[in-house]
Amino acid sequence: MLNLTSLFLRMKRMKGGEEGGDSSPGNSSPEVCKKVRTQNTEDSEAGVASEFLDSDWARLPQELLLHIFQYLPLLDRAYASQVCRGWNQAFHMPELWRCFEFELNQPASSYLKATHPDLIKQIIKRHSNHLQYVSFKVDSSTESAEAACDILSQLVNCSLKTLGLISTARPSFMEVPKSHFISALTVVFVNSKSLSSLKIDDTPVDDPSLKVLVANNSDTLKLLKMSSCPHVSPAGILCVADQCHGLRELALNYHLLSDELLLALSSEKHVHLEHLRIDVVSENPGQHFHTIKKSSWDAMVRHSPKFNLVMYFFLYEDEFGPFFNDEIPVTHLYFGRSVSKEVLGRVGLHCPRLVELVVCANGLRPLDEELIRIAKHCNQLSAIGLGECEVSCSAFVEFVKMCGRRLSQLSIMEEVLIPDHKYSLDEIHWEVSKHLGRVWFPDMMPTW
Amino acid sequence: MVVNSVHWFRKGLRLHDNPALQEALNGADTVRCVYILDPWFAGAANVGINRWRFLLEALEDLDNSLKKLNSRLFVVRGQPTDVFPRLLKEWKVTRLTFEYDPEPYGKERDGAIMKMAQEFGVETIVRNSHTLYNLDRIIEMNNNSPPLTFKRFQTIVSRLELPRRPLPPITQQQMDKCRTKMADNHDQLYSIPSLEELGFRTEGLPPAIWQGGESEALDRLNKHLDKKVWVANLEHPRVNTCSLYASPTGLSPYLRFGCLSCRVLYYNLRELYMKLRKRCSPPLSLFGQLLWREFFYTAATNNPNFDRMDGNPICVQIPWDQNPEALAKWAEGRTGFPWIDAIMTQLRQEGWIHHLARHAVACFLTRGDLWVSWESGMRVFEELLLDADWSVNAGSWMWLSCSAFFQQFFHCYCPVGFGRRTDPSGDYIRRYIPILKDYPNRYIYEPWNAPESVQKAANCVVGVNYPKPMINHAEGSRLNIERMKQVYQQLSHYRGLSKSTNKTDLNMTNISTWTSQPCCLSVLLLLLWPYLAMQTLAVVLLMHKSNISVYCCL
Repeated sequence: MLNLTSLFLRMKRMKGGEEGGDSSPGNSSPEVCKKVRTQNTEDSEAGVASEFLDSDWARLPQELLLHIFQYLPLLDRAYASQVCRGWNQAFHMPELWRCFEFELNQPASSYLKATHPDLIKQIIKRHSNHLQYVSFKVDSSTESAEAACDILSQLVNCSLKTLGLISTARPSFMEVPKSHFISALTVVFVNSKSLSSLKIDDTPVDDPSLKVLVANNSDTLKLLKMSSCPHVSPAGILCVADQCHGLRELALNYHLLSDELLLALSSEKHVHLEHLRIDVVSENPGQHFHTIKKSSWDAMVRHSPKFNLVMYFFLYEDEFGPFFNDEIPVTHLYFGRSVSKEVLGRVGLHCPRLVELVVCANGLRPLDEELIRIAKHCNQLSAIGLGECEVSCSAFVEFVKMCGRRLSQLSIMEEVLIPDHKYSLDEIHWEVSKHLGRVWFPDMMPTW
Repeated sequence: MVVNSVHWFRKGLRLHDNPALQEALNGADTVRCVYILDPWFAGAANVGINRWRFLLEALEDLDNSLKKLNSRLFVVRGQPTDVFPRLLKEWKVTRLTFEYDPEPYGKERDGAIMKMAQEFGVETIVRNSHTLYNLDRIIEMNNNSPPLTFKRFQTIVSRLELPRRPLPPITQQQMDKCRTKMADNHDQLYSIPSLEELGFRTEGLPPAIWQGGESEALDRLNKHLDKKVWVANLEHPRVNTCSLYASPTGLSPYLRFGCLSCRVLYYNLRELYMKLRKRCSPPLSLFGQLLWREFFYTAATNNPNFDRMDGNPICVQIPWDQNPEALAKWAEGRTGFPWIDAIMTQLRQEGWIHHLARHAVACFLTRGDLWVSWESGMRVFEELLLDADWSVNAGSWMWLSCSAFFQQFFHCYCPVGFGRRTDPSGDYIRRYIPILKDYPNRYIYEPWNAPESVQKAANCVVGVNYPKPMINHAEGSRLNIERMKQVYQQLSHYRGLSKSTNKTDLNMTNISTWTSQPCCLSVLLLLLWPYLAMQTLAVVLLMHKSNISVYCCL
């Protein structure tokens, strides 16, 4: 943190000139600091001592102020900027305006405060060309999303590296007229030419705007997060994969995933993919989902052996037909709704790279066999979470024994565990703790 | 010296295990038992008709019990600060007794009254009997901060001595020694108000499912213990359809109002266990319900902001949506999800719902589907739920919305599936939402998916006779898990502010950020709220420390 001693030494150097040879922050001590202070008060009369403190604070070198200001939250920095002209100048240094998060909330729809409109005006006026890492957090009101679009449209002088459009509640960007949104976004795409990270989930972005993105930023784009963008088609995202060879992290919905996309991401020109996140969401019961060929997944694994495949499933139980029939390189698996025993059995067989598994609900038949199978075949499994499921205590202990200490995260609701002849609820946590090598308890919910 | 005692009933509406009342009687010449109630306030308070009825019944019961001992209950209309100066003078009171109220509002009110009593030269005696333990002692044993995980709490409690043994009920002999002459106009001055007097309309009001009062409480206690013997199962019973309905042996509202002493329940359970199992001491899990209550009381006792998000040091600031329309639909049981609507209907009609039902509706309102603040849900429960006391209600809502107590937020209750698994027969739905009674089991939890022919045959068309579902659950829960992740990811990103000021880190992280790590909360407060007083910061840091030590005590 802040090294006050080096600060004082620096000031002394400014004043004195000769001293200050060994002003290395590392070996300064409070004694040195004290010595500096007393020396100065000895040198001058009593009145000058306070003058020393007053004037030199104002004449602190800008790089020092910058260093200090970087530790301050915006509000404190703003207060500091009111102190004197020098500090006000420092407040406006470009380095302090590289990164900004616009919070756009309406009192009627959110409990949180918004970024002051005057501050927003100031930033656009004085600092828009300094901005590099920008995010917009909007609440559920359309006005907030529209305000975000307005700001975006004004960022003509920016070369942004990072842009995030984040809805903190209901996705209000979807309520903005599509053309208004697209034109605002296009301003940034065209002007930035150096976008590296883009987060546009739950927005009305479409294929043509993705083309604009690609046309201007294909060399720099590394991260693209666009789950739940209903106006994008598989062709649109394929265009991104084909042109942006540096893309390392991608998040999208299952309907955009295709064999061609996976092959494009595994082409020779393409860098190693680090992270692929896929949301599989059912709009209506009985929805049909296409399948991805095993060969496409194999190509991905060959090209990027360490990549994480994160899949979130929000399906009805009977919609899992197309999934887990072949080996799939999924590493992080989340079942947001009820998933059947049978599907979990298939997961055990076909997901050798599995690292994390979360099952929100299953049903009232014990998952003993399925868990044991997962412990046996998924040798990388290190985190598991079980919600409304049932597992007999013996099978659970067996599962933990098989996984051993690699289980760093074991989050089981208390109701999941069924006591049997071998273990009661009170005994099980000792057994499990023993095998895990740390104290463990199931998760509890208040019973009142 | 003449001793004229006044015992002030607030909670603790009972004559058994009432140490403060015993103190009132001890060596006194006269004793008057008062309850202070402000009918003008009744309308404004967030208290529904069932709760008022329960309270009035409890007061009625007290009055009857006191009549048998040749005394009466004095229900005084007004506010304590206005009422007491008058009474202390009129009755020449020398001793005031009441049960200790650990809630922050209660402590403040009592502080003012005790000061006033002192000015009148009245001795005040306060005794703890609403909680099993002395809560300050628990806090002290946890490095001067309340335990914020249940396991930690249990660990501390297991090191304490047993709770103080309950006292017997006051006896005729005790009362005879301090016989107080009742005024002829006692009933005019000090009677228990009726629901009408409090401003409620009672025509068409169905009879109470939960009868208020100490007599009913003790009766239920016996039945409760008998049932445990019969079931021969002293552990958590698996929930089934039957558990959803109001149980004739349920005790939670009686514990809340103090019609039943928590220590009486504790010792009865303990003795029953030791008799049946012939073992030395019962596990803590036997006292689940009582300990959860104690846990929340302990967490709340020193935190006047416990029931809100803003300014509450233990509560994560989550960007909940302000959506009065959605809140109203939820509160009134018009969400279009029969499981949710049936639960909220039972709550409004009867004043009690099973704890799993509470989890279902709380999750639906907050982090599961509607993304509305837990504070709104808490207020609805406060109005309708008989056993919702301030600490337990607020604490539970924070817990269920993953706003505090280091909860895992991955687990979301499905408003269709959870209901179906709990009650496959659908009878619970049919009972509380009669319009759906002719739906077949297959569709009763999701009537919007039933083909038109089925809907017509059941005489209930979705969108006409019964609302359409107000939200797409898959979409809603997907969005919300993202929101929760964002909140908790931000906490861990802010850990190194100096390093990240130059970069907004948008890198995706994996699923394991669905748990809130203990250090996150302290970091959150350190960096996002620099305006917090140092005092609160100290609480946070200590809390952090205490949770780490959970993992060190093997």
